[in-house]
Amino acid sequence: MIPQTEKTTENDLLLRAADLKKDYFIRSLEDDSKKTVHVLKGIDMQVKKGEYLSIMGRSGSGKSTLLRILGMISRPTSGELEFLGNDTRDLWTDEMADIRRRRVGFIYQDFNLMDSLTAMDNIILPGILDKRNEDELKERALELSRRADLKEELLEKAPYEMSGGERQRVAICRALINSPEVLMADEPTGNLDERSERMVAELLEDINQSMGTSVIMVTHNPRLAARSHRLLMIREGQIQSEIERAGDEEGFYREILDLM
Amino acid sequence: MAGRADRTDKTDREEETTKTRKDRILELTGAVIDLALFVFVFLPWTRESGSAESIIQYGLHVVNGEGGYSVLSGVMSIAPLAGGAAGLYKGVELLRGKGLTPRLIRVTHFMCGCAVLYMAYFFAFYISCTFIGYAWPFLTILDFLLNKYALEYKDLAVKNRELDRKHHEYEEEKKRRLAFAGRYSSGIYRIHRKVARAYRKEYILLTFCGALSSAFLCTALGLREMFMSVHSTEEILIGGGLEEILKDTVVTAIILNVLLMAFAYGVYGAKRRRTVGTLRALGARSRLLAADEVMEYAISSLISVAIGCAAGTVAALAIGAWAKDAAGVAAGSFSPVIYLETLGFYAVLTFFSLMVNYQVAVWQTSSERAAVKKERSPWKWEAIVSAAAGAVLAAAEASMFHRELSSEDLKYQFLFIAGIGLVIYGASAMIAIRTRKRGTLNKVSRSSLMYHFMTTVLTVMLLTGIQFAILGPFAAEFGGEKTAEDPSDLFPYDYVMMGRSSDAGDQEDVAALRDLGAAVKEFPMIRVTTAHGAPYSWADVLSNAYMDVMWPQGQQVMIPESEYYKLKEMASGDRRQHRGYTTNTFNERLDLKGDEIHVVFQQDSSRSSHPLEWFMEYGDPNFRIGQPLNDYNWHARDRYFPPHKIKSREYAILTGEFGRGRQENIIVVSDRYFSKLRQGRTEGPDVMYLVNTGKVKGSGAVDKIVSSFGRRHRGDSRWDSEIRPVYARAAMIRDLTTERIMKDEVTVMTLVILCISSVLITFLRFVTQEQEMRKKYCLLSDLGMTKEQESRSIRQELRPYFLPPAVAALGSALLFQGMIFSQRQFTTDQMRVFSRGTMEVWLVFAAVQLILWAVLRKRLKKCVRER
Repeated sequence: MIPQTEKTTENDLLLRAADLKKDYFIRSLEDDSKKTVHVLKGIDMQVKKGEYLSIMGRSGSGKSTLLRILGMISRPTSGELEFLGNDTRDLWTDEMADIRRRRVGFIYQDFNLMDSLTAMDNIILPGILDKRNEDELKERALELSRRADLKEELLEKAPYEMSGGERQRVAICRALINSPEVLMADEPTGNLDERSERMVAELLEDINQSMGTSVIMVTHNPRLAARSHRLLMIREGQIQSEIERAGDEEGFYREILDLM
Repeated sequence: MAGRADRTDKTDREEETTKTRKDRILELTGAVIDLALFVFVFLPWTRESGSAESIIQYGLHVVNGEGGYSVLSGVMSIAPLAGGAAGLYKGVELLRGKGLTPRLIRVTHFMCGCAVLYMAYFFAFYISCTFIGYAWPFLTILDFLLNKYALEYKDLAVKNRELDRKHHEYEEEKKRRLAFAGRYSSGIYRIHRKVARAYRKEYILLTFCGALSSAFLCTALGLREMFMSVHSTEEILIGGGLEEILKDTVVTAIILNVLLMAFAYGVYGAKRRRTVGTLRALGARSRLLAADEVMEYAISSLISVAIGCAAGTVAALAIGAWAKDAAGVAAGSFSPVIYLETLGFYAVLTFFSLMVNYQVAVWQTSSERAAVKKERSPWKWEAIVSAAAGAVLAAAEASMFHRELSSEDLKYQFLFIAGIGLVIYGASAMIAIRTRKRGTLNKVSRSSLMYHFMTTVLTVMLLTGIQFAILGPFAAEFGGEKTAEDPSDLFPYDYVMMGRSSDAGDQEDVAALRDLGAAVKEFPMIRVTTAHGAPYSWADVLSNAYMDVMWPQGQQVMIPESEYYKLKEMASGDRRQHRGYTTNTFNERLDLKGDEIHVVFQQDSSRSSHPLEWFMEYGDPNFRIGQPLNDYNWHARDRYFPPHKIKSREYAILTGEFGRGRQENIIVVSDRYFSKLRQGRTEGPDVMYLVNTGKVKGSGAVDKIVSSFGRRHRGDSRWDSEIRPVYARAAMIRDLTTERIMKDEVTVMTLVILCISSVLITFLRFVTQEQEMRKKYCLLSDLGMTKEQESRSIRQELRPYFLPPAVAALGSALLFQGMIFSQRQFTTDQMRVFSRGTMEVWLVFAAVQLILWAVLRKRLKKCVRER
């Protein structure tokens, strides 16, 4: 847990967003006019190294869009985003790809695994894209899969032969293969049963605590959010409230429920 | 210090002097060009019937009423005159060392305006001119560019240096920021192979389409190569016969295959989008993604070309063997160069289809997709105006197609279907507006029309166009071939020779033929030339490049009315019965008066009807008595090619189908008018000999005489190699047979490619919609939609892509088929045979559509039931 009293310095910051805005252009269903939808209306936030942050909010509030911008999959319409103290506004497309590959890991609700590859291939894919040695990658994949409680024989199976929980754990291993600084999880337990959900939640917590990897997670699940250090509540593209976990998980859970 | 200052001043002065010298050189060069532009006005510029005139002389002729349209000719004269005068002024000013003052810059702009006006006129109406006429506008533009350079070269040098520096800096920065040392491990290839294997169905489809395209090209190129050795116009680069079919084939192949390949790439790209998106999110670099894509397409292309070339070779050799057995045409060999040509054409196709399909690549790389994608809905007035405009356009084009002495031109048919497309657009818009306003229950199945209006309607319009091409013009081509007479029926005489009555050599040759026992009949004739002998195309221009006119002129045979009856008598019965059907016969008395004419189009039933004069589809032709002119100006056309009135026309073979209905038709005039024309000066042949060799057929003596006759008059072919002094039946039959084989191959392949394109377009539309439909039906199922309702709704979703295009295309095809019957003066028997041919195409197409319907329905059901 990040100590409350400690003063945050520049070196502790992983991400800093200032006045982030994102607009989409759509056509209205009612009168067919062209409209600009302001999905994000000026987000100011910071994420510290090693922090476990949850983002909650209603559907359409801009959570996933924010996560895609923080993960550098898409660019904001305006505003600043600093990653490890570097301004990302002037980054080239391939520089963003390099950051995504090496420093950011993604986990999606629908897993986004490639069905044509085995679980092992899926896990080592980001490493291969990073020109790393395949044998070393496989060793690392085995290590991660043990940590994620995935049996070794499962690694030679295709994703469609696995359960949802197994698939999500494969996706987490894939996200960790290049030892990223941050893990971005977009509703990681949205498609899972209760048991799998608990396993994934524990795994994320373990990764955050033992590996020191920051986690930014979008979720609708207050129980899952209660495991994080801090919660941002987003409403209509703006941060409505922010609470930090002061005591135990149960207390934080109740606080979240009160906020909702 | 003072010394250093002096040296600096000196250097500045030297630089100043250098600059001035360069400026001066540029000014003097400009002055020389300007004065040359002035002098050009007095030099021979235009060409009129063999003599060259300066622009001033030409203008004076027009003013004196010696031909030419004064308004158009005025532009031709005044623009260069004004430009030349301005050039004189500018040249003198520059020589006086005044430099490029603002006034002189304005003068330069004025000169450019004159040149643009002249060029617009030149390209619109074509001017027969000498080198000066071509050089003048280009020199004016060169003068303008020189001026611009003189004014800006100093700034440009500074800007270029700055740009170079920035570019260098950018390259350095790129090297630094995008440094990515090392090599990808072998795993990347394994993963790529596995991914490719997962998309093998789409990959096979892509490769199959490529193979089909290259097989089409390879077969066409191979057949042309093989038949060149037996075709009598083999030496012509681009012209009639095989080359013309090949030219049409290549153009058709490029258009169709670009369409086919673009949609094949579309289907493939749509399926791969998710994989590419995942790889991007995982941090794959753009170069790697691009390399993957290029490698996939390159491998697919190579496999396609290899399969296509193999299939094309087999097809070409099989057709060649069949031609030998069935038609007695011994085709030549198949050269391996064909493979290189196929590869070259295929590369062009791939390039264009990838360009067309660029949008797919944009989809793949774009992550900026909106959450809700709804296209613009139509307005009420847009619906009304487009439907009304479409109806008017369709009616106008149908009437243009149907007018007498018009041509069965494809452009009318495609403009007609464009009109029908507009009607479909309007009707769809009305349905969308109505559905939106009334909130009918059909909203579910009409959601694609409401929320993706443009994409849906454009797809339906495109399908209508393609299906019309299948069921209309190309089915007609297929049906038309069924009505074509046997080549032997189209050439009733062993030799048709055209000579001069005054030529003693001709008399001797004819006497010698008679001595050998050949039956020779003489007919007086006059060579007449129409101003435009063929529909305009650049290939025709190239083939007639040695004539300084834009359109190839057409050569016909004029005979008197009394001789016409004799020819009819000789030809009667030849075409009455053919393959069990009766052809039309024209048995009326002509009773021609004054300069009225009767045209006998010598063409078989499979060929389209057309006017004698092709330019702007004039019903009544402009023709001159004599052979083609080497040069004339378009606007003085009526002076050289006076208009004539057509009284009647018929389709019959009196001497032979030598010019494929375009040329060597028979123009009949009254005996009195013919005698009057013969008394004046005539050019070219004036007597036609129809020779049947009978028992002496194939004897070396006959060949020798005929060859000697042809050599003596070979000058008659100098304007057009298809026009010959001697037409030999055997060679003509060989030509026609090879051309028909080529044409049949092209028609069948075109139909196949159009069918596949139609299938792919429909398929692509649903593949790209699958995810959206799945979500929609999941929701509807959750809301309580029964399986039966779901099934009905899916049927309704499919219907717009099947029913409206097919009904519109078939209706239009039937309309045009009726008009073709009327245009070609078909008998009931011919209509029956023709219809049987088109019906075969329609039935095959209907079967393809039914299979597609069933496959798509099954696929959609499976897709929407997948959770």
